[in-house]
Amino acid sequence: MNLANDLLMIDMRQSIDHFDTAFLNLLAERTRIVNNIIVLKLEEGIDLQQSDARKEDMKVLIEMSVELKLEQHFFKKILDLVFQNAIMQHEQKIPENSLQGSIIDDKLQSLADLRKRLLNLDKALCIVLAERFCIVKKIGQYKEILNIPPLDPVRWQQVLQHKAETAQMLGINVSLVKEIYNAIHEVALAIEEDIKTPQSNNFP
Amino acid sequence: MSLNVAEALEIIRHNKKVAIVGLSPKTDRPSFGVGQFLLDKGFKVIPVNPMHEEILEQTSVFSLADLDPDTVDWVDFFVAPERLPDFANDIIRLSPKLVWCQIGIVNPAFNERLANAQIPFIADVCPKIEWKKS
Repeated sequence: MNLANDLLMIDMRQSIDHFDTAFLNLLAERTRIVNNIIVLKLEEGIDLQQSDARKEDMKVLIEMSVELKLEQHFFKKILDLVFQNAIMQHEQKIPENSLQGSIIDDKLQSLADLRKRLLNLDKALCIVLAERFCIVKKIGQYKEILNIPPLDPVRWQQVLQHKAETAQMLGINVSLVKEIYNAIHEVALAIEEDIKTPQSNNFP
Repeated sequence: MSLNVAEALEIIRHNKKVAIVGLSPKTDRPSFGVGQFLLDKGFKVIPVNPMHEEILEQTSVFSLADLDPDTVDWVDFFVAPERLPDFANDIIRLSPKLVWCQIGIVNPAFNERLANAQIPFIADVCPKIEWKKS
């Protein structure tokens, strides 16, 4: 690789890092809002079951992801993981990373307001993922042209560990973040495979 | 243990549930042709692809981690050989009757793990080509 190629790769990886930082912070805010919804529900004696409104939200988010050309199989997996985590938070009844101070602001809002904010956050997560995968596709094309191998497993484990540490610091479920990033990694590798030019000697 | 072509074909003739890792919906890809061939021969094809929900009109799973051991008899790989070790743990959990790695997909470390787990495998061969020859 020449210097220009190196710089281009560094630039694209920096872009990925920025999107990941945004993604994890949005996820942390999401966790906080879900916690506060649980606190409000408990205080007002509302059933802790997740509302049917979330199913409607899911439909909205999937439609949005189609417009953004985000891989459907992947996005549904992420939504499933995020929603399952929220259900787990509900089942535990004890909010994760419950910061009493942060609840004060949210108490001034209704449950409906909080749910609306949750949907907005999920839309933002969808946009960040879609933008991130635009860069992943560019990296895949670049790797194909320059014959660069996919990320090696040892390097990937280091990246995953870093994400887990950031998640811990932000008070997000570390297992959730690991599962999400493993899914992101799977798709990134599949995209790279997909971009590759088929070799004629592999054709049966 | 590494199998020869005749032994591998004998296994797949009697075991019709195959998960194809890296099955592509693109008609110009070898995996598409092999998937279509196996479907035509009466196999139940389970595409494993995190990008597409349906390939060859079959519902796809996101990864091998989403499969239960009794849902698959054998696994056919269409991925870069350096990626194969990533799948070793799931393969050992699924304990299929055969792991089939396509032409050019050879990874000695992966083969060694399969051998240690006593999972039969064949590599650098295509089931479609061998089936037609047999």
